[in-house]
Amino acid sequence: MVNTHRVTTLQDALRYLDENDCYIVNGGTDAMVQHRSWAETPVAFPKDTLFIHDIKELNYIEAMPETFKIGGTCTYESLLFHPGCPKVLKACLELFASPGIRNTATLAGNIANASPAADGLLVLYALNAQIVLQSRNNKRILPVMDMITGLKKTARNKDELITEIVIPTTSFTHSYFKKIGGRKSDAISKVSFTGLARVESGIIKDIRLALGAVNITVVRRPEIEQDLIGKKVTDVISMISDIKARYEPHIKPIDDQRSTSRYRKTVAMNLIETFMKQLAQ
Amino acid sequence: MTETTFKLNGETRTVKGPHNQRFLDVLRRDFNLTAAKEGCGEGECGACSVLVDGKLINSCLLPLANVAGKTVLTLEGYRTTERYKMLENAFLKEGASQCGICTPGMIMASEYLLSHNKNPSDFEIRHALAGNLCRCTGYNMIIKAIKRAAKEGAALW
Repeated sequence: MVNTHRVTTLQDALRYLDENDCYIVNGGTDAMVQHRSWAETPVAFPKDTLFIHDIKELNYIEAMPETFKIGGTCTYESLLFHPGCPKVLKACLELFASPGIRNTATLAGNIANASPAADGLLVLYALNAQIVLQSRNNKRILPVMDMITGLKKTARNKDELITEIVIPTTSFTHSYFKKIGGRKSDAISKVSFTGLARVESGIIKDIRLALGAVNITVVRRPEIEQDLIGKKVTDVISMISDIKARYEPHIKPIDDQRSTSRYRKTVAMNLIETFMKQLAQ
Repeated sequence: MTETTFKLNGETRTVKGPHNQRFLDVLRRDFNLTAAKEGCGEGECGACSVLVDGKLINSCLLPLANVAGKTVLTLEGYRTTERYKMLENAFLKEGASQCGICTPGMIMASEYLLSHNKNPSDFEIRHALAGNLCRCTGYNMIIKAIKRAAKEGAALW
């Protein structure tokens, strides 16, 4: 039997995390399923559990000219309906789970869970999001790519809490989110894709591609993107097969109950091509 | 023993027991409120839907700890309202309830939709019901029923 503790202030949460090694439950939508026990018995969390979802001071969205900040207990449904929500994140959230899940699931929880199929995480990679980690005596900020260290692994120390997600405000001329799932909503992605670009006078000024559910973490390759910046869109069209060949070694999906490796790889490659073709339009 | 206090269908209630219980189990076992059903137990089917502070939530994914201090409405509390009667009548007229297992969840999802959007389109209704499965697949009748309720009950929402 594990001990449980519920907090409503950040100070209490950080103190508890400093003094105890515990499992953190935020909205609970993943945690409650992952540790599900027999029907009608309490959920079997792996160790003493801290419930943080009711920390009100972390339930906020702050839309500033330079940044869009999301507090650690803010739900997906609040994000979806916020007028300042970045376009690509909104496109993702419209297909994300269902209202009943979005009303309690959090972006911070999606990051902490570090699933390779997490749609929220995919968009954060493309938006160069930064993750704020706070402990009793320290606060540090990590780019999302450094936060996620492996399959379901993050750089979070056990005394730290994800208190905020910071998305730099950037304007894009092209914004593409595509999720391939068993049904339109409420599905875990077989493959997911985010493409963002800023094209000015036919020249690529900024480009970002992120692919979900095709490797142990979200795939984003800054070195490939760098080589595309400064190129003419018309030239890039003739380079599509080369670009795909460069992504190919990083697309290493698995066979599971949702899909096959072969299907996922084919779709991922097609999505790269679709996005590159959109740039010329 | 941990105590959790919240408002349930208008009355203040306190539950003694672990924080890590599923709220669905608390509703069904401790309060004998059985409208919320366990279909899948993993947030796929919406049969366990309830409203917490006016928001649609899958009670099978909700730890008791996260209910503390909140206001919960289950179908049993909702059914005394005019809005419920309007939805019930619309579901009956359109034949929107077949085996009935999904119906309590569908009604709660309908209320959540109509409380935000008085006049939803077919697309918006389908979107709002994305987390509610009907294995009799009577979706078209459910959508018609919600449209009927929105039209006939325009003043209620």
